[in-house]
Amino acid sequence: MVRKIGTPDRYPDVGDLTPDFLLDSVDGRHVSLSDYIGRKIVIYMWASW
Amino acid sequence: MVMPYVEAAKCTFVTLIDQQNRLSELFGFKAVPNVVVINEDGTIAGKQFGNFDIRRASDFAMLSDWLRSGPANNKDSPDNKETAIETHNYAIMLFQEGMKQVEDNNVNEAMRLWRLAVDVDPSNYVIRKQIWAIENPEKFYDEDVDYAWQNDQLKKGQ
Repeated sequence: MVRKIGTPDRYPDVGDLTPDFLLDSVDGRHVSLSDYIGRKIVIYMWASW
Repeated sequence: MVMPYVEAAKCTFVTLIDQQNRLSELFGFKAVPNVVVINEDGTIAGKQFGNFDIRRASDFAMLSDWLRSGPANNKDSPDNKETAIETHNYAIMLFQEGMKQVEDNNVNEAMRLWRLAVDVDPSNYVIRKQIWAIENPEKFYDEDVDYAWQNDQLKKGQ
């Protein structure tokens, strides 16, 4: 089985530190989760289908 | 594809695009819609993968609890976590290779890679839906998404 470098042993659970990520926003900015550290954050993930 | 929904909802929150399914690599989910709540210190207060509906009173209450008080009960604890992660990430890697093929206009090769991904991890519904959307665009992109059709597909074991 192929394993990518940097694959965690397990996914983050409640109580663990969240992983950081950097994605593009719909209006073309680069946004990372750590831009919002220090506040409560709600991440909602959805698809158009 | 996303902007019509964002504009119709008059979103005040930031909307990001994750076309390569990277969040699935980080968090390990196989279906959407999901919610993850993060505390001020960066720890996860709560998460639910799949079947989250803010309009449902129990889901709204659960979200409010996480925001109010921090960590709650964790719902998913898979057995044999290491194999499950390798399988999951291998399927995601195949999905991402497929997306590259789509960018180069090799849709048949993309479909082949996505079908392989679903063989590797049959429980990943994000990848499965991608296949359905390409094979049956009228069920996804013409007017409203045909969720009854999707439920039929699941019953038929597609």
